[in-house]
Amino acid sequence: MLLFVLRRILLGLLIVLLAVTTLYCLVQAAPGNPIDILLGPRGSPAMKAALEARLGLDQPLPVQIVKFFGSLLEGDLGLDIKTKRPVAELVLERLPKTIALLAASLLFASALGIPLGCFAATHRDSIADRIVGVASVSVISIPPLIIAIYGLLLFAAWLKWLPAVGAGDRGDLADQIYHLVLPTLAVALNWIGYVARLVRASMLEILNEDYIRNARAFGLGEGRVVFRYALRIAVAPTVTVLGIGVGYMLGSAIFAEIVFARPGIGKLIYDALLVRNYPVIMGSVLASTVILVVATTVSDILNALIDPRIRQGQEA
Amino acid sequence: MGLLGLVIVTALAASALLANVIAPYDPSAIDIPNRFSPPSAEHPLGTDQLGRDVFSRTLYGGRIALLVALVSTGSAAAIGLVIGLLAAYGPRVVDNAIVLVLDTMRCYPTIIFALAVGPLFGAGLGTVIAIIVVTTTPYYGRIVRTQALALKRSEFILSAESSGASRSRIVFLHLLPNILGPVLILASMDIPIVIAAEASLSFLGVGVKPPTPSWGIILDEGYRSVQHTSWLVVAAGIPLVLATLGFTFLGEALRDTFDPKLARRF
Repeated sequence: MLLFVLRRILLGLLIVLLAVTTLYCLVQAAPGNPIDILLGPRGSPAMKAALEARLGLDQPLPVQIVKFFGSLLEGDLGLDIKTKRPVAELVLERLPKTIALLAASLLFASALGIPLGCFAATHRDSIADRIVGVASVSVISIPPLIIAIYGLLLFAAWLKWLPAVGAGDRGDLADQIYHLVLPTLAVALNWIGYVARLVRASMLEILNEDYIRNARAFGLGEGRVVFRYALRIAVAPTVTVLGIGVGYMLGSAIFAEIVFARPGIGKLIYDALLVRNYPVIMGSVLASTVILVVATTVSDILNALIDPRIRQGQEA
Repeated sequence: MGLLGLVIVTALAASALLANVIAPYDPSAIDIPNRFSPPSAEHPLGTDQLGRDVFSRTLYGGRIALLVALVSTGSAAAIGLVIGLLAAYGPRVVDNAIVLVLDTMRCYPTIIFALAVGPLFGAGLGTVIAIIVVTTTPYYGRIVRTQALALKRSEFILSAESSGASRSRIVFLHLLPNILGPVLILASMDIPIVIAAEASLSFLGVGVKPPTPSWGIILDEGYRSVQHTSWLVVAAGIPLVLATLGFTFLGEALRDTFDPKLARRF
């Protein structure tokens, strides 16, 4: 098990390394170069050369990449162009807000999706199963941006049940959770449907397996069969999908943070984008990539804990 | 559900194609005195901050949405098909390299990737399509590779090989028809996601540029003036919800009809 965990962590590091290098090269290869964007149309060639030298962009690409990783290891992501604050500080300040939103969404999606899928599978072809089916397909496809905006209008502007903007008072946990409800809904709604369908499909497959028939033949109660034997295995693909899904949730979180003016990473990227604050954009995208890779790695390790077969190296 | 999807999709496609006939107004005709007017007989969805007719703009927006969806899904599927077949039938080194690149590319979710790269290329229709193609191609490449590898060992391919068929004959005559099905189904299920992505990117300002009437732009303008009126943003969301629902229902029905085995994999 320890070996498996170590291998997964190494693979995760390799992917971060590759992803960051690719992104760095892409940014350099793109036609609009960051220097021109930073300086705007009025930048003189001398200013350009000076800024290039300051940012180390006049050196060959491999040297740049090595230097970039070097400063990365020291926790240096460069300086914010507007406020001259270190980007790393900005990112770390915003990160908890986004992670809280992602965690709440994961929790919400599984807390609703898994029971719904399990219920639909055990009541196959009933009216309730059909309703869960149609409802999950419908919520899967609605863009999170629309859910955020409609949610804002309905629950915050018209009904006034929930707060519209911000992340709540610092130190007041209840207020923070209160402010988390609508953004979580916007990020998680798609995933409730997705998880419900996934759990239903894998439950149906597993309930047909021999060992479930055996368990029933031994006279075990239906509740025990469903929860102890079937659901445990049926949840495994959901954990994988949610691990990969964190990336998409991060994309949705950007919209939720913009619409509800929640000061997280997404809002940081968006605000930086409006003024073309390139170091901040790169820093936040880097942070998002790390969140993503950590999430996939954790979900793989969780999966190995749930289903011992995966540990035996079948995951490659 | 499939029928409902078909009806919605047909209606959307027809209204987008015939936008110049159906639309009661020019989508960019500015009429400041009548700005923010509520829905009425003259303006079924009201007017925006410049007095432009929202209904007409939504109809023209459908053209952009469908154009982006068809072009980018088509290109991603075609590129993925070639890459996937290359990986499955090329030398081992090529296969390993392709898988590594595809898996790295899958690391970036569309929106995050777009935010990092979009501003460098400048907003515009081409950028949106390029971003969507880059982020969705890996999925096609992966599925084509898996399918091709599985089929490579199947008996009908082995028999074609043993009777001396050339490699190109096997790939084009025997392999391709069997791979095209899953790819087309994946593409049909991808369309609603792409439509949502185009609107989302345009909303963020890295997609289609105003004053082009894209659903994302209308939504963005509606959101900016949400303090004046809220129905503008409500109206802009309706076609987007309808389009994604319609295409999803249709894609699901297609998948269930033509490839029930695939249902378990997604």
